[in-house]
Formats: sequence, structure tokens, C-alpha cells
Amino acid sequence: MSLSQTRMSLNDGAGTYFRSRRARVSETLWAYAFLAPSLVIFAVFVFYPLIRTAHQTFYQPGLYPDAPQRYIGWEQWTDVLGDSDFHATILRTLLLSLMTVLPALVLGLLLAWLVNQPLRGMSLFRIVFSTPVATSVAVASLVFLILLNPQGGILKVDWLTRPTPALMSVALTNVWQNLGITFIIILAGLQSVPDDLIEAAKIDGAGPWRRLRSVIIPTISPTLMFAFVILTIVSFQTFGQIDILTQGGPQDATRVIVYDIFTNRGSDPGAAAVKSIVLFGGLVLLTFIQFAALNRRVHYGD
Amino acid sequence: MSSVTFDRVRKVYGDVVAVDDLSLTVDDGEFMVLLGPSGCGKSTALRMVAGLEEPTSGDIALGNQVVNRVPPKDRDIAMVFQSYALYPHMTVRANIEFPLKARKVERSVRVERVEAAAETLGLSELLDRKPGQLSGGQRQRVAAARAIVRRPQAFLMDEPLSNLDAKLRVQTRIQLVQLHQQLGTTFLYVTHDQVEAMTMADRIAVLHDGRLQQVDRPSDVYDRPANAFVARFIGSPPMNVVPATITIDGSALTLNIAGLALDLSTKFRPEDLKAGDVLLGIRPEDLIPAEDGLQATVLGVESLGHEAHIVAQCGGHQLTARIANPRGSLPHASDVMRFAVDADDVHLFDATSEQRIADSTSS
Ligand SMILES: Nc1ncnc2c1ncn2[C@@H]1O[C@H](COP(=O)(O)OP(=O)(O)OP(=O)(O)O)[C@@H](O)[C@H]1O
Ligand SMILES: [Mg+2]
Repeated sequence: MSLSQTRMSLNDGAGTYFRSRRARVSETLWAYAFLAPSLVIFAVFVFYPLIRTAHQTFYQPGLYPDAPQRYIGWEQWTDVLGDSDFHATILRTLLLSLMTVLPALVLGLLLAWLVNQPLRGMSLFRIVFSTPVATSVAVASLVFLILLNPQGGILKVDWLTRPTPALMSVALTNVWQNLGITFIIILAGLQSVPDDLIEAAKIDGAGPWRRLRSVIIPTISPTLMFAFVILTIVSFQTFGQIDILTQGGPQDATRVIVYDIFTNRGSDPGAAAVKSIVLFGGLVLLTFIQFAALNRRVHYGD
Repeated sequence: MSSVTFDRVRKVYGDVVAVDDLSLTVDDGEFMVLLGPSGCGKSTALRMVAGLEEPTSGDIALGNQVVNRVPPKDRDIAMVFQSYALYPHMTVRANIEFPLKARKVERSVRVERVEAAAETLGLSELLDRKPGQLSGGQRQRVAAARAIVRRPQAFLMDEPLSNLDAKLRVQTRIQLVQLHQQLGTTFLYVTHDQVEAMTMADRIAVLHDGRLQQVDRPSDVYDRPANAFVARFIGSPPMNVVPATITIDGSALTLNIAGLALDLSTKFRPEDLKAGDVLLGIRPEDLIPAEDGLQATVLGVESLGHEAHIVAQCGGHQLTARIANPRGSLPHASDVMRFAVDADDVHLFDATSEQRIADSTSS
């Protein structure tokens, strides 16, 4: 069977209905053949580590170097889950996520909306606002390290050495780092809103604010949901910024889950494994909840 | 309610002149149709009235007020888009209510007006559906309801029927005319479909390449096209327009075409004509198969049941004749036949300017 035939039958469910059983079997084989490379990569780099990590949650390192691992079973889970420090870490992570996702989403929407106005010179702003996408975490963090340096810095503020401002600084770096991609995603959404719809709203008497609220946002809600999910996941995985700016300090104020796992990795790999699985489960759950919750309100066109 | 006036309006995009020196008044309460081929600037003209485009020069007025710089929301006009542009995430009710909400109309008034508009357009049963759950015709009616709910000064419609099938289009045409009579509001309606224009309009404004060609009642546009373009654009099949010559001998006016000499003195006055080249216009229904007359070779015959079109070659030009209620045998390709031409049915256009030449019937 040729490639084009396979593609056709993948697109056209009704077409395959009348095909012979043999053709369908061979089609399934082809489908797996095409999927194989990505399945292999997935298995080696995602699935295997995940299994290993899950396995690790039941073991502690030996008592002396080179000693075999000790099996301790669910005790490790109850220890970690009952640990009040870990509870604080989870709360901190949620707080950081909140302080990242909401501002990034609102700012991204606002910038994209402004830039999408039919005015001269807007293409320049489109490029400028997209640049953070091309910036690595390290560079973004360094930018803020320089901005925030109390001595030679540009803002000359002492944020990184005080707990609450430190977490906000990490969030700020996060927002800045993710604003570019949020902006691009939302701008693409805005550009897919039919002009007619906006013009109809103008004629119906809606000002810019009502158009944004009542017409544009509902129309691009799938895009906003996508950006929301991506930002949430990214914010839960914040690591580079913390490592460069605060190393989890001061007084653990920026010690979020990923950084916690990172510091645990040598001293307490079992605990690190449990926390990893908790993070993983949390993200999966969160993604499902977000999709389920927003699905009902999101409009997917007709 | 108010009139809509274009005063020497011009709209240029880059080096494209979309609308050129348009002067036109749509009277208060009139149903005016802007008619013309694709790209002639109809939509641009309409969008300038809506405030979605600004004229490059000239003035647009609603009533006595020049509105060039007034934003759409303050113009008190409503528009129905070709795509209908319904808000997909809102119910039919919310769609119709939106213009009232945007104008901060009180809730009780809104409910009342939405029900009334829905009633007028037969949408009462559909108020809780989303546009995605409606048929094309129903969507079109929602768009119309959203337009009338506000009781605006004027309605603008840009090809509102073009997404409907042929049968529904006929029904909707009639409904729109009824709606116009009921509301008595000014309608400015854009279409490239001459049937819509002929059947709905109080007056038709024919546009071509951004220029106004003629503004008249439908019957006048048909019976007295202002130039060869309008003549060729209106009618189905359109008017035959072919070169001919005129000879004047004292008071005898003669039209010469393909060996036929036709006395024009019953319809034309010598002072309106000059000898030489001219364009002859003749409607297909005015070419009548006869024993005597214009000789032509049949190229093909199309029978539609209630009428037939004969396409024939005559002196190097193609002519179309329309036979109503064809009975018995029709000619076949390469048959030679003759058509009688009555001088009263002749339209003449200047050979260079293509403008209509006045005749003794014109006022
Ligand atoms: N935004 C624009 N930018 C550049 N040129 C435009 C723009 N809008 C319209 N034009 C040009 O202006 C001319 C008139 O366009 P317009 O849309 O008014 O035509 P129309 O009569 O409505 O045609 P149709 O029947 O196809 O809708 C066309 O040549 C078109 O290409
Ligand atoms: Mg148009």
C-alpha cells in the first residue's frame, strides 16, 4: 500500500469501512511503523525513567557507601507526604504558579491585542514582544540578576535576599521568560478571529473593551486554554531561574518542588523519587481538571 | 429614519481606485440596491456608510449630518454581513440582544424588543440555540433580527442572500421586501445578482469600476439603460450590443446592420443622431424569428423549458434571441434563419462614449 493511500484512509473513516479485513490489518501495521520512532524515544526517555523513579520510591540508599539499597516500602511515601516542609513546598509551588500564569496570560493577551490593531509599525512590536522566546532560562535569569543586583544593579533593589520579594522576583523572571511564547500563541489566536465578527460588534455599538470581553475572548478561548495549560506546566517546572537567582533561598522562600527534588537527589533519592511522582501526578491531574473545567465553557466553533 | 448621501466620494487603496467620484442619495425609507460585477466597489461603498472605511475624499451623510469621522457605533445604522457574522458562542437570543446591551438599553426593554424582533422573523422557537445549530436560512434571519432589533436609521446589507440555495433565496427575497415595507426604514443593499436588484429595489444604482453608471427604477434600468455597460449587464440573457452604422438622408434615418436597413424615424429624431458608426442594442426577446429580416447562422440552442435561447452568428457578431414558450421544433446548429427587428425596440449607444442616444420616447 502506498503512503498516499494510508493517509487517505486515516483521514476518511467512512472510506475504510468497506475495505477488506486484510487491508485494515496491513494499515494498522503501517500506522505502528510510522509511530515506532516516536514510541522508541518515548519509551527510552520517558517511560523507562518513570518506571525507575516509581521503583525508587520504595528504596533507601544503603547505610554505607557501596551497600545495596534497602527496601522500605510505603513508609517512604507516608514520611514524605506527612512532612510539613513538603506541604510548605507544595503551597509555595502553587503560589509561584499563580504568580506566573495569571500575569503572563493577562499581559500576553493585552500585548497581543494591542499589537493586533491595524496600525502602522505594529510589525516591529510583534517582533520585539516575541523575543523572549529566543532567550534561554540562563540568559533571562542573568538579565534579572543584573537588574535586581542591590549594588551594581539597575533597579538597585534588595529583593533576592528577602523571602517574599525573592519569590516574586522568580515569578517576574518566569513571566518575562514565558511572555514571548504566550504572546505568540495568543496573537495567532487573535489573527484567526474573523474580521466580520469584530466589524459586526463595532456596528452593534460595542467599544474596544466590550469587543475584547464579549467577542474576542470567547472566540479565542481554546487558544487561551492552551496557553493556560502550557504556562501552568512550565511554572510547575521552574528550576533554572531559582538555581541562578536564589538557590532556593532565602530561608527556603523559593524552594519549590523541582528545586526541592534537585537538592534531595543525592542525600535522599527515595524522597526525591516520591516528590517526582507527586509532581508528575499533580501535573497530569491538573491538566485533566483544566481541560474538563474549561471544555464546558470553551467554544470550539461550529 | 434618514436618507443616506454620498457626495463626490472617492476611496483609494494604494493605487486601486475602489470607488470613484460617487454621488448618490438614498431617500428616506427607500430600498436602494447597489448592483455591479465583482470588484466594482459595492462593498467599499457600503462599508464607508457603516464607518468601517473612511472615504479618501468626499462626504458621507446620514440625514443632514456628515458622518465621515463618526465611528460605526455612533452612526445608528445596522448591517447584515454576507457571512452573517453571528457571535458563535452566544445563543440566538444573546446575538439579537447584543446591540441593545452594547447600547446599555434597560433589561426589560431589551427582553421585549428581542421577542418582537424574533417574532417578526419567525425565530421565537430558536432563541436558545447557538448559531452552529441553525440552518443557513435561519442564520440569515438571526442576522436580520440582530439588525432590526435596534430600530436603526438605515440598514446596510452586503450580499446577504449569497450563501443560500436558490429556492431559499427566492423566499428570503420576498421576506426582505415585506420587512422593508413593515419597517419603512432606508435599506441600502449590495448585490451582484441582477435578479435580486430587479425584484427588490425601489431604485437600482449600477456601479462599474468604482463609477456610478445609472440610478433608476428597475424598469427604467431595463428599458432605458444609460450606456452599453448597463445594457450588457442587465437582463438574462443580457442585451445584444453590436456595431452598426446610421445613414441620414433628409428626414430618413436608416440603421444598417449586416445587410439589413431599418427605418428608425418612428423612434428617433434626426437632431439626436449623426451619420456613421453607432452601437445597436437589442434585447434577446426583441429578436423574433421571421420570414424576413436579419439573417443569421445558428451556433447553438439552449432550451430551458419555459423559454429557449438561440445563439447565432450575424455579420461577424454573436446575437442571442430568446423565444418564450417554445412550441414545436427549434432550429439546430448551422441552420440559417432570419429575425425581425422592430425599430421601437432598438437602443442606440454612441460608438465611442457608449452613452445612450436619446430617442423620442425619453423624457
Ligand atoms: N482593504 C483593501 N485593500 C486593498 N484593496 C482593496 C481593499 N478592499 C477592496 N479593495 C479593492 O477595491 C476594489 C473594490 O472592492 P470591493 O470589495 O468594494 O468590491 P465588490 O464590488 O464588493 O466586489 P464583490 O462583489 O467581489 O464583493 C477591488 O478592486 C478590491 O480589490
Ligand atoms: Mg463585496
